[in-house]
Amino acid sequence: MFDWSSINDKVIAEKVFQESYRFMKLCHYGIQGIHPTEEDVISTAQTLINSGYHAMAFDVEMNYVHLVKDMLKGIAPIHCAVSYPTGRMPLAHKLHDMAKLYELGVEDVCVCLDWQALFSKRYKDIEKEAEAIQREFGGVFKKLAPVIPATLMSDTEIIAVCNVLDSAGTVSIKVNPGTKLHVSFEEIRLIKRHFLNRFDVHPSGGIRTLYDAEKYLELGCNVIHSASCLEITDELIKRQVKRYTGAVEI
Amino acid sequence: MSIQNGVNNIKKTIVYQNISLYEMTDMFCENMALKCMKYGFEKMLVGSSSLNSVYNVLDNEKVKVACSIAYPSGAYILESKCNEIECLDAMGYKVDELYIVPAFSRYLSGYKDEFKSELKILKNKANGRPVHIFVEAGIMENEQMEDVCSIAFNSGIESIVASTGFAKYFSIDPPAYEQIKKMIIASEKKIKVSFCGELTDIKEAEKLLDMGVSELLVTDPCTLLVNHDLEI
Repeated sequence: MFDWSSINDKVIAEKVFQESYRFMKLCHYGIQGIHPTEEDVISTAQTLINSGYHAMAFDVEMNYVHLVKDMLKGIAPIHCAVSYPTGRMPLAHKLHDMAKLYELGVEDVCVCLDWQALFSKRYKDIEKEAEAIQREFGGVFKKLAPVIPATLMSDTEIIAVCNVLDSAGTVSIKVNPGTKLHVSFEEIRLIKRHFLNRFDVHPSGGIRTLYDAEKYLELGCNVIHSASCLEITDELIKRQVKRYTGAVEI
Repeated sequence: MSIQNGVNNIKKTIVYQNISLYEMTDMFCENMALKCMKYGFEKMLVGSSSLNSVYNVLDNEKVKVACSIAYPSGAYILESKCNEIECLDAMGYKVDELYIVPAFSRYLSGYKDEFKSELKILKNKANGRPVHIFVEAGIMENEQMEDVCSIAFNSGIESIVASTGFAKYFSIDPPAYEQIKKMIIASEKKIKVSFCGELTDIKEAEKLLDMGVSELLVTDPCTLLVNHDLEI
């Protein structure tokens, strides 16, 4: 974590802190997967608390929501993924899980659409699924984003899926789930080019540097999914301090 | 043993699965079912969204259809997993066996009793169908392997699959063969241990089976077996 006492000028320190704070507010931070233990989850939540930042959301698995919800109250809403990452669970079950997550106090959700339908070009089925999700839970969560594996799709497939999500009334789209599927600038540009600001686009997967994060923000994204967001924030701080102080190295 | 006999033995242990694949189409699922019928693979394991495609073509009672639950993380509350089984059954397709990812991370966190209870409840929920569970043997100690094998055996679990086949996507190492061997030793032959992962060489398959692995959950059994001038 950055040592703020290393900046002599308190005005600059405060300015850079505010900039880094605003940046982190756009980021998802957290820990997910088959193996993180309770200790890992608490430690990750504590890291966020100790940083002094608030995040867009703290990403955690469903069975650990109870552990971190109160710890992170006022710091970050909780985010969970449904039917992650390939969306092959029954729709009725996805809807059940979303209702359960709401009951547990989760405020930010991504739900993986049926990738088999997607790759089979059953776009009407994708539309029905997205419509059902939007009908039941549109407006219920702070953010509700269907996940599409754009990096495995052609441009025409991405556009076709976004068209049906448009018809379904979807507001936010998470582009790629992470788990080794990495978003690219081209995917975001494609969506923005064809749909302008119709969707709140959430890039995810492989965002590791300040350059990447700022590029996605420049492309019109307002949410960044990155396991490295605290490291990226550190990179931002160092750059900004250098800019303001003219220091060679911090 | 002749190579042909070896191939025939391997065939019986194959579980043709698509759950660890990202890209999946209806045609792929239909082809899975067709290949099972043509080549005599006795079991296929799919996600619930694949069932419609499978049953579009499957008309052979000899091929068992298994479905995954809570795959791949297993990090859902018990109520969610029970609901997933209910929703799966409500789809109306015949599902012969369940392959479930339990809350493995909760076990690793020390909640043994919770883990035991989960397995028993899920076994009951399966309504008499065989239940298999996934773990990640690559991140388990020997004592944990023995413990999980014992818990699973006492809960009536059919087999333990040594990896979800998804480990690399979670940035953890899949189990090495040595670790799978340790799991088999830990099982004391009370409960079967299966393999799930990439397998392209028939010699690797034979090595696993010689070690004592019961099933090979693979995504491309035909390539595994047809790299020989043999009948499959």
